[in-house]
Amino acid sequence: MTADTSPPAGPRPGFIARLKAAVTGDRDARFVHLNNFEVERAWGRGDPGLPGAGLSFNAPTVNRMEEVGVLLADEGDLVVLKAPVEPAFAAYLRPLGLAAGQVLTPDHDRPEQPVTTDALASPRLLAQLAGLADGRTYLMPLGVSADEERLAAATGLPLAGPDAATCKRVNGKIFSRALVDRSGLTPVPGAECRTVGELAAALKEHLAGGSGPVVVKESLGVSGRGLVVLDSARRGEQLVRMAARRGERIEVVVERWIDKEYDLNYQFVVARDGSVAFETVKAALTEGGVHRGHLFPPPLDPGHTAALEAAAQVLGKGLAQAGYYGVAGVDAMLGRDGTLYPCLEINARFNMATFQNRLAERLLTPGRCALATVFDLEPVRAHGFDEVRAALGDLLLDAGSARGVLVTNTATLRAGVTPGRRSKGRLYAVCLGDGPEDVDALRSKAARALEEMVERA
Amino acid sequence: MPGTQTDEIRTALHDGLTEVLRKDVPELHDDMRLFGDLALDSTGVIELLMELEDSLGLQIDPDELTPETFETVGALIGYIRACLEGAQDAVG
Repeated sequence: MTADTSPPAGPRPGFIARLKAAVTGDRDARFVHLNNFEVERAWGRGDPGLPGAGLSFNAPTVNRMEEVGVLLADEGDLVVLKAPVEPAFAAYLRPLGLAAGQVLTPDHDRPEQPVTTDALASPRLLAQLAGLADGRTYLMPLGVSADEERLAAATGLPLAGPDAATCKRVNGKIFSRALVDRSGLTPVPGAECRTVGELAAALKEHLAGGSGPVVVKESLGVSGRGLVVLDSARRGEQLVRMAARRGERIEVVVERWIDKEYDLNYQFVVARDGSVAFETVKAALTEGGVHRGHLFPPPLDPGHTAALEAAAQVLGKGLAQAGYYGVAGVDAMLGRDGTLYPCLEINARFNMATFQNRLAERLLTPGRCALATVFDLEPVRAHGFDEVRAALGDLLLDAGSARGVLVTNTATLRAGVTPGRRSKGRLYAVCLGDGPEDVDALRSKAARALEEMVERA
Repeated sequence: MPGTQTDEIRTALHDGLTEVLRKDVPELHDDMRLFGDLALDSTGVIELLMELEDSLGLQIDPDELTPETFETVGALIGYIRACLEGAQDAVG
């Protein structure tokens, strides 16, 4: 069982209060949430990565993932969003206690730009934020880059986190691998590469003798982007040739392909004093190789859970020594042979799991189960929340019910729509139910209902 | 002949996408969107570039690539044609 699934009863403060205490020393501080998804783009600006991997194809949708931040803000907090929450969606969330903060928006929502860039270009919002400075109000970004530092300087609001240079350094996969090696945790066989020569040597070693494919990942790649799977020495040499055309510097890791039982994600909070508090562990649920979402609590045996909690302490200490404090999420993996790889990479920032912490405290009662998921849809026009509500019908979780589909973001369903043309849209949700089979069944029914909704249009 | 070259590139692109996407790819039209209509993703871009380098004898400069290059089938064919013409000019 994970920490965030505890019932709200008892003296333990909620996740946001615990986070405030850890990073500011004041659990009653006020946060201005700023959910700058894909902050890696800002961290990686100018860094040599993989050829073609820096291209962005769905920026408008990714930039609106930030709407999920309204579910995380506590009473008294504020949330900067690129655009207001649709009134019908806000009215749905409010009785669930999930739209507790006040939303602030910039003068203009420029779809290709992340929220921080919009905020920096908005004199009205900058003035509003500056007016909040009272010594105990903090900017709480998803991750701190130079852009968030500029916003802090422009508004006079301090950041609830370390500086951008520290955040960038500890978020690199090169840092994660080096920390795993130093800590004695089980690494995925592979190498860190800072030059094309090192990449060539690593690929030669790990692609030799038909030992299976390797994955090459940009140090600051994110969400399945900035990686390539290579299955032959010939492809390895080809990648090296392409990379060499850009110069000798590169920042990637090479890892052997591991057949996995499941992907795992756990999160913890590193406090300013260096103490580490474990929060949650979640397992990726797949069916027929297709990703269905993250399940929590996961079907792990207690030994694995204990191993991850121990790894969190080790990694958290390493992060603290590097000057980091705040939320950290770690991708881990249980191999099909039973080997637990406790750290594939550290994301020293908010993660999708972070945004589920507060809702889980309110809605996930002991003994029940949740599946955090996304529905990939192909709408030909923008669908409002009222349509989503009608499509889901009784499947939709409402205040007072303990089982159903909780919609957590609707902006991503509309952001990438070109009217009259089949477009890409995402609806984020958390299915709450009695167990893994129940939440997966809820997901399947909801997927059919939502697909019918877009087909009818 | 530009028409013949475009046909060759289109065929190579079709074969490359079939390999990268590991599924049947429909006949390619210039206005098809590589991401929206054909479901190419960012990870597939690198693999596709490798396939095209192999089949067309291209050398792609990664720093030249922009999202617009991959917007549609027509845009990518235009970019590849320019690469091939540039290589021919360089040779003489």
